[in-house]
Amino acid sequence: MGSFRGQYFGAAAAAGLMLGHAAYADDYKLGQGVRIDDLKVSGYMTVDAEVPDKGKSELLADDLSLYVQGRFNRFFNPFFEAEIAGIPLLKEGEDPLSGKTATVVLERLYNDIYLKDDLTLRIGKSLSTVGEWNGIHAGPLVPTATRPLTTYRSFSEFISGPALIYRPSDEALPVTTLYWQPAGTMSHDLDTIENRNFRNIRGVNLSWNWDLENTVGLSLQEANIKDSDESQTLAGFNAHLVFEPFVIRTEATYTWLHSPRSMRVRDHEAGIFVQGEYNLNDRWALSARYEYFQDRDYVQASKNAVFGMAYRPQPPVVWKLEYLTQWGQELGLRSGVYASLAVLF
Amino acid sequence: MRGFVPYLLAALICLNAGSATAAPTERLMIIGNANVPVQAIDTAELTRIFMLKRTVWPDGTAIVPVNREARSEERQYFSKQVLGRSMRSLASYWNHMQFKGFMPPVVQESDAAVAAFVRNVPGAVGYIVADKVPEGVRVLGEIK
Repeated sequence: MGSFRGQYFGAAAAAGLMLGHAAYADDYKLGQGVRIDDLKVSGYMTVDAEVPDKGKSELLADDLSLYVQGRFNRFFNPFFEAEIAGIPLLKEGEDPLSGKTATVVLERLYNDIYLKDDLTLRIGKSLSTVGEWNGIHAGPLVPTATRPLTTYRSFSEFISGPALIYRPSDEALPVTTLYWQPAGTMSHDLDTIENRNFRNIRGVNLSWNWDLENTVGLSLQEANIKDSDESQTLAGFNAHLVFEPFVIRTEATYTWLHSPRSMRVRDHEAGIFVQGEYNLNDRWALSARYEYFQDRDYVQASKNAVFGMAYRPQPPVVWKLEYLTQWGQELGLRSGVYASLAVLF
Repeated sequence: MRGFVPYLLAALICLNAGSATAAPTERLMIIGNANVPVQAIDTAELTRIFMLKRTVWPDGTAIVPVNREARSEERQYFSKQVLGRSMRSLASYWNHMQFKGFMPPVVQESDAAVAAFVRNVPGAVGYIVADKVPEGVRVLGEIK
């Protein structure tokens, strides 16, 4: 369960700001949120259906996310996001709306200070910039219903602390992000893997972006692991290249463990996925992905492949249907059929 | 036959007049709130603003870009001529940027609404068909 005190504080602050500023609002359009003066309220919802080859089928709302962002001046530009994750709707053999309890989490809470036109200081809890997927992980924005292990398993998805972001006007230069989390997280992260609570996180990301969608990135993140002498260094590479109608995405990480715990099977961890997408037209797309992940705690590597299709009737709405097959060590992805409906609002 | 000629001429004149008014977006005027601390904006700068790569004016005021609704000729013309992207890829781009904490352009449903918004909101910048300068805004340029 997340820190409710932080969530209520954020929600109250956002509501107070909204009440204090109601000079203008634009007409509502799906996916564009509601803008009230210098504030914008928006969010997304994803409904997932999972039909594993072995195990119970399930329908759940995961996630329902709301974010409030403000743009006031050079110094005060807050962003708040809270989400309810894992809302049970139907599960095979169980009563509707029963089973596991939904969880409220504080995803992000930070303020941006524009030091210069191309330099921003961000302070608070934000997404860590390792690869591309972690930074855009919302259901309506990612190409498949299932998330590759490589995009979250080896590193801290969030940081609570300062980040310095350099966004040069020259596309030849990379967007550069430096970040540091000096202590623990502002609020508990929902998907934290056991024995991987990270502290003292520091990292850098270089991201070259051109023609809106093309991205090549390099990441480096160092972190200590809570309640141990263990620490780790992660190096990552990501690319998202568009050759209309084809799109290629890939992310790879390699993590070195320093002073690993005795329970660890190896002193490193590595993952890579390669995904190809073919846009049949503006609405329909096919995708295929292969992933290899060698976890620090298991002898066998985990491998999976995904074949799927997506239908996007309009930019903020996407239906996805895919089949995932996995072999080797099971690490949170089970073979089966996955479907989702994701909507930005 | 002779009696038909005036009707034919009238029809041609109407067609010609129609073509003269059927392309209202051949010229767009860039307008800003009267307080914006610049006198003119070129298309490169306008692109940076609408692509959310420039978010504050030199005096620190937040820039509020204003777009027309997706189905409007003005928006389509602006997207093609200035931003150089398809409507769909721009929509996808702004969705991603919104998730990353940026504020995509505000949408207004008519030139009059854009002009009123720009007039009333400090830091606002938008585009309208270049036929008449609205009162209370600053003209920052023209797109042909």
